[in-house]
Amino acid sequence: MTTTTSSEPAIRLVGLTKRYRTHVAVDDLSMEVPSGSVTGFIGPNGAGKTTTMAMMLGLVKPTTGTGRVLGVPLDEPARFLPRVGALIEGPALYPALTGRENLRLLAELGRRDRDGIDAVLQRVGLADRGDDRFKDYSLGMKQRLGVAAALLADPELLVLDEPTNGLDPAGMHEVRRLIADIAAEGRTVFVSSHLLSEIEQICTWLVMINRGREIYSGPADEFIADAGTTISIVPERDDDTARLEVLLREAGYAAERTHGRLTVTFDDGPSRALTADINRRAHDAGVVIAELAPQRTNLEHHYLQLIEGVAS
Amino acid sequence: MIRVIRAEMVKLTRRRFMAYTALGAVAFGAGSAAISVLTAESGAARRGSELLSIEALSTAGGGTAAALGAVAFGAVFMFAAFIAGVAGEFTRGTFRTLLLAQPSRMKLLAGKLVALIGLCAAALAVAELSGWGVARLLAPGQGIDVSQWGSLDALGAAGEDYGRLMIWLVGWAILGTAVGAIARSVPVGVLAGLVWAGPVENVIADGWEPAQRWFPGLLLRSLLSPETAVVSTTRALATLGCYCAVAAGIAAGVVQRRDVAGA
Repeated sequence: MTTTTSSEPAIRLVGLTKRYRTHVAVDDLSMEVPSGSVTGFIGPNGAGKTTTMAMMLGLVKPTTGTGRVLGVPLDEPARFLPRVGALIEGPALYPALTGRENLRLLAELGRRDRDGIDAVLQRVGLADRGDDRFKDYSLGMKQRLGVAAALLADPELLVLDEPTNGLDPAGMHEVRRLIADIAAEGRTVFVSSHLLSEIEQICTWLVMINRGREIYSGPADEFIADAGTTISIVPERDDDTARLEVLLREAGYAAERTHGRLTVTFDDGPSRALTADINRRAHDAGVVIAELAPQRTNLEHHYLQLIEGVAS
Repeated sequence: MIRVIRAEMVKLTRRRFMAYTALGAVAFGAGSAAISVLTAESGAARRGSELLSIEALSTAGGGTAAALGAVAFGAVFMFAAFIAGVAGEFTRGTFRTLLLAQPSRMKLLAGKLVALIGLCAAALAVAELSGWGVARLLAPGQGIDVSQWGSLDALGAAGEDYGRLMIWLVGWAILGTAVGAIARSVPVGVLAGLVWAGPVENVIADGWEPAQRWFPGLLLRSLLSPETAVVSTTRALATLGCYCAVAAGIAAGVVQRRDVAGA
């Protein structure tokens, strides 16, 4: 997946602040979300993600700050909301109405094509449960109906607030796949989560906040590269592991032996040339490599370091 | 605003919901009329009382007045319905969802109010019709003359009664919407509304006569029984107009200014 960046970002926030009496929920937040990207909005619980999203959608008035959504000023939500689909603070729909009735109500309200209801129900996998009452849905089904409601608008920008909240691993996987499918159509997706690992697989851009302030904003692959990457090497013969460790250390690599396996850590991520160099050195020393696999194990650790860095 | 009304209609015109509403309206209209007819006594009605006299019920408008007089007792339910209708949108978070599809908060609030008033107006028409029917059956047994109940004058009186009922309904609707919008919580809003419109107004009125001229609930009730009211319809309407304007202004201000999500 590639990041499509046009001159006008889908979302641009400048110095956004929300203060509730003595508590500052969002603190001078400035950020951009490139058009066509799948942007992960990451932060621990209480970091200000939902408040930021609510301000973006005209639900909450910023104390100070400005911004634009799809090129329209933040204080004119009536101009940009028809082009935005959103699920914020969980799916809030009428419990006594069926899934289909809830969507029909929203379609009437937003002047949407009622023929689109079946299509979005199909898309989120609720075609055969559309006539069941919302209150009888499981949490996962409620989340999916919330996404269906957001998709009714055929949006250019989809804003999803913790869409995997409360879901089991299968449900999370389903929602992630749905987001990836939506993004493949060229729509901009802005999705929040308190767990980086939950959404990093589908994001092309990351914005991280903590205590209402931005701590990282940039391409997801850059963050992943910054996190450092390791290569796991397993020689064919166990007694070659120690020999290869010495060899690679002498060549300047950060190699470490654990449980018959050699781990080499790179600060900037392994390039193809470095991986090939390791393989060549092993071969020249007569070591046959049975396994050589890049691993991205430090991502969450890097994210936590960032958060702790800000906290301290 | 038309879109908001149409959206509300998706909720309000569900078959099961309509069936329950109609059933409730029939039961309430019939019950109200039965109480009016069965408690009617000969002689002039007491001022400030909803009880109708046999003489009043024997006039052309007696058939619909029978239902109307006792409908006033249903005011608390009407009030609670409007409070819950609006406050529930905030409690459930559905107001947030609706705002994402229709960003105009005023249109949302007004459309919701109009749709609910429409539903209640239809339910009250059903209640009045069923009340007339029950009153017609019970009246002869109470010595009430029903010979004028099917006349043109009776139709005119029914129209006037229904008009008063609509003003009564709109009054409760605006006050209920304002309480719901301010409270944003069904239990808090309904409790506060009912305590005020129920015991508080009536207890105070028992010991302080001007309450009948100033308290909104009592003024609204007086519209339905003008012959026994202690305040003229014109004065009641003028005072209620002021209350409703203030309530609508507060509701609009609160909904327009307050945040709908986030914390």
